Amino acid sequence: MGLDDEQAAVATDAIKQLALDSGATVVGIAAAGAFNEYVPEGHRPTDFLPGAQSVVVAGSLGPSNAAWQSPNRRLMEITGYDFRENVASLVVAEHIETAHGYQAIQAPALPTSGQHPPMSMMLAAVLSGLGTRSIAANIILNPTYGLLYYAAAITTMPLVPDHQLEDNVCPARSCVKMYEMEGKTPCMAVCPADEGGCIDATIEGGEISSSYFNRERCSTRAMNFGIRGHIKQVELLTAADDIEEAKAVLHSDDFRRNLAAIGRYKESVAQCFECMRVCPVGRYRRNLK
Amino acid sequence: MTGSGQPSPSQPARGELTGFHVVDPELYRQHRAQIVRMSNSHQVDINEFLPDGVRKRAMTDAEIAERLGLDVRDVTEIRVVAEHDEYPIEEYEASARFKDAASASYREGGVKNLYGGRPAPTKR
Repeated sequence: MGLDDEQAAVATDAIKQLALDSGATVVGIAAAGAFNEYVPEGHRPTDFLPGAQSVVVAGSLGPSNAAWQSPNRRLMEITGYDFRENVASLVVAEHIETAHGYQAIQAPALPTSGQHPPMSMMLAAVLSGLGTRSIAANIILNPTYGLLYYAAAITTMPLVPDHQLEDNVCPARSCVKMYEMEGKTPCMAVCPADEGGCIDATIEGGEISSSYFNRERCSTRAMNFGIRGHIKQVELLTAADDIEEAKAVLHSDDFRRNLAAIGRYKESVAQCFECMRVCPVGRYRRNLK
Repeated sequence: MTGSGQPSPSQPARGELTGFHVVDPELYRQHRAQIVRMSNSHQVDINEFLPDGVRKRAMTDAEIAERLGLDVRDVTEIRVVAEHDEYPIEEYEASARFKDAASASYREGGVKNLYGGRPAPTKR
């Protein structure tokens, strides 16, 4: 027997509160069918959980506010990401199964081949009303917090979906003003695609009218150390002419850092914050004593 | 190959012996740039707020395979290797230098003082 509207609303509120209590900073709900307009078959919630009705999306902060202002940028290379949103999504999935008897799974967000995740958590965040895509590396900006990390639970339980945000969070007014004067926003200025960076866009009437993001260059920065760097170094090793040359690579600091980033997974993502460091959205929250 | 398209036990497909699928180097060279362009490596106008007709999305491996008349497994393998091949190892070192320069410029002068552009040369 299904839930009536009132029961669904009560259950929705309780599940959202559970996600917040489990470490999420924000939580929103998208209708599973809302993905169909944006992504092809193979990347929709129903492709992973037939009969899926709802997607519960949890977002959490990465670095603390003070970390953004550290004089040593490498602090955030190793502390920039935690797994709270993943914990929250798993707690929600387990709760839905045990308390409500509906099927629930953690959404598959980690890449399974190359850089492709089976399901986009960025799109899930947009569809659940938690943020909109920005000029800065297409990162989803929450209007209150700016950059957040997202995970989700997919369920056959019918929950009350949130509306998508009506206004695009990006560009901020100050960015539009800068663009009108200089032809670029702060994120475009610090990481320009036409000068060895990742980002480009145009703004018309205060809105994004076109955007470009070079994901592969970004990954050399945001995943500076990790699987990719390790593979590159293995290539160097196999091409080394002698044992001394091979040892120089094998014993290097960079080789260790690549392995450390792989071994302690949290170090292998979110290693570059330069476009977000200059983004005004949510920056006021970093002004602390 | 068998009639069903599956490799026969006596004639395993390339790579199947070791359990890894490997793409023929010539096939890779032929399709690398095309597949990178069609996939999600360079994201153009994907913002959900862009109007229909302007908003784009990348193609899936299955869609690319159908368009190019290739096996989807070959497309996936070419894409994964090509993503990796977009930038050489030197770019990783340059990226570290870029982050040093960019974060320092903001710390010293804020948005009006941003370091932008090609990464500073290595300090080594």
